[in-house]
Amino acid sequence: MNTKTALLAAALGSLLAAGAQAMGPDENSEKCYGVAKAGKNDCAANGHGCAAQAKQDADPKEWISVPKGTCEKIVGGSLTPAK
Amino acid sequence: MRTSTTLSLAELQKRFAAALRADADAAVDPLLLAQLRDDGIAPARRLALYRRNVHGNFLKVLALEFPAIRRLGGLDWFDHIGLEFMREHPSRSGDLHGIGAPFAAFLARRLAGTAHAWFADVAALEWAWQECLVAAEPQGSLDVAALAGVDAARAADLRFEPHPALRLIESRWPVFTIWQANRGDEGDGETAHRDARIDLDSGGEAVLLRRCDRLQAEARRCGQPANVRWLRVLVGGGTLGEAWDAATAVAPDFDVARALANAVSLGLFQGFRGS
Amino acid sequence: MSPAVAAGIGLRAPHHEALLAQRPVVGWLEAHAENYFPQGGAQPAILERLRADYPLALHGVGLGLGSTTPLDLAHVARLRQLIARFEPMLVSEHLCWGAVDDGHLNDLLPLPYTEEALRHVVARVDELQQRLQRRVLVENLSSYLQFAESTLDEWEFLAALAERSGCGLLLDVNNVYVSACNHGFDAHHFIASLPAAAIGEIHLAGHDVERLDGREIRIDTHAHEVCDEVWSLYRFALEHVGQVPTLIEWDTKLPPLEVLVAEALRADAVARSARASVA
Repeated sequence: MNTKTALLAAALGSLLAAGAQAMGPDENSEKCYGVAKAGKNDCAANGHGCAAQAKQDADPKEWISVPKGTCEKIVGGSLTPAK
Repeated sequence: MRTSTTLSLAELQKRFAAALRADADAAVDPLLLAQLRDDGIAPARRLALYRRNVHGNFLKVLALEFPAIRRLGGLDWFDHIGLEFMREHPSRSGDLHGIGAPFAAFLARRLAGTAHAWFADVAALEWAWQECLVAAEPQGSLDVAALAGVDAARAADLRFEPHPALRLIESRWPVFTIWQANRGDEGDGETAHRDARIDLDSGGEAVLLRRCDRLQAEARRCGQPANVRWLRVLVGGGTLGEAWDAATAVAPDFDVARALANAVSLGLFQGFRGS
Repeated sequence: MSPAVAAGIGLRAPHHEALLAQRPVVGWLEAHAENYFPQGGAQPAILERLRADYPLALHGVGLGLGSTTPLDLAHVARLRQLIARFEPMLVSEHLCWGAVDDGHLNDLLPLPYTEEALRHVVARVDELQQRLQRRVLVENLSSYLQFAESTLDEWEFLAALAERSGCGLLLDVNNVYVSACNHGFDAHHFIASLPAAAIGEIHLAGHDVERLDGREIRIDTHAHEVCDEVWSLYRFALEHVGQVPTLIEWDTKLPPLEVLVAEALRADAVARSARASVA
């Protein structure tokens, strides 16, 4: 039996011993929990409430086609990152 | 009252639909306008009410699905790009859950070669999160005793069946950090790291998405390259042996027992099969 | 009073937590069917828990009974699975269309009231009822335009649809009022012209008023309390129809759960007073 097979077999065999209990985040991990906060189809119900949210699309197209949100806080990003 | 140019029901709906998808400032099909009663409010303005609602519905669902992209791009940009997306990829169902599926690929094409090309990877992460939230419940639970009892000679040939909600997203950009700082609460709330500056060149990130139970889901950043490679093979349906090969290629001392115990305890798999 | 006649409220995700924690005394809940089309996750899990305590109605918003595209059989199959799983007391859809060959608009769009459209919708409702193996209620819309080629009035269309397909009707009293104001017909005449026996459910909701070309137009936003005119029309409807399950709908600017429960109680009070005056 080679090393790989032995290590894999040992890993499987130790699952019961470990009890397969939650071992917590093993490395650099961050958690976030969530459930859907809205029914996606509620908007298409017989209410026309979404009407109030869409505004007239009359802005100059040039400036609107460039992102202007919080991405300004993301710095760096040369187009061909050195790898 | 019948007009001289009465359309079939199918033709009427086709022209009506085209008018609702069009830009607000586009000229309205005169043959369609002739089908509408003119009684004090111009028919074109009545149609505009429906157009406003169709656009608003689509954008509202897209905003629910991509809150970080909306914050990153800004609300005006998001509405603009969202309508462009709607015209290229109209909804294919009376159920709105699927409309965002092609959005990441759309952004990849639309923003290729620009300074915002990385938006596509953030969108892919947001879509994977949406899929994770609603994916089917697992058909069974992993039989750990049977797994532990597998014959040693067959260990390398085992394949796992991923939990239906499991997703692994990899990017050459720090997508998890960007997502966390911008997802907000349904796209409108404030986020803790909102004002942090993030360096796009700080390195790529991989994110594992899973459901903890029927009500909750979790996203975690996977920092170690060996672990990412290990997960990539197993999530993709490869064998345990292939996963070990991939991981040990970058980290010869990869702790496979610990990694396997972790994967099992996180419920990443709903079953396994032999060779 | 049996729960089936005490008013219900529309089930919306922001109320999930409060509903589970408080279990308010409302007669029943109505859920938008398509929200539960995905097979897993929180939405169906929560509906399962609420279903244990409340009668349920499933209200479809996306089938497009009047669309000329082929009936979406995958959509119908999902609806059928939901019906088998949650055993709703009522299943409803809208008298509208929503899709063309190259995609869905995901809105409730108005039909021309013609013989051609009637034949089409009757056939579709017939097929739907056969595939679901149950009666479906079809709801009247709020509308903001009318087609010049319409040869029937909306109420004539609905009455003929119910008669020819055997479907029931979901009478949305707010929609009747909104459309009556927008198009200048008599809301009482609309309701009185419907076959009372076919009406299996009533919806109540609030709406908004906008101005277009210097004229008022009412928009069905579901963003407010039911207005006085609609309460009065509701009472009139009950005198015509008798007692049927009534639902309070609220979608935009959703208030705390208590506000919806208060509206449901008000609907019960109107129903009691209508019953007393008929008796």
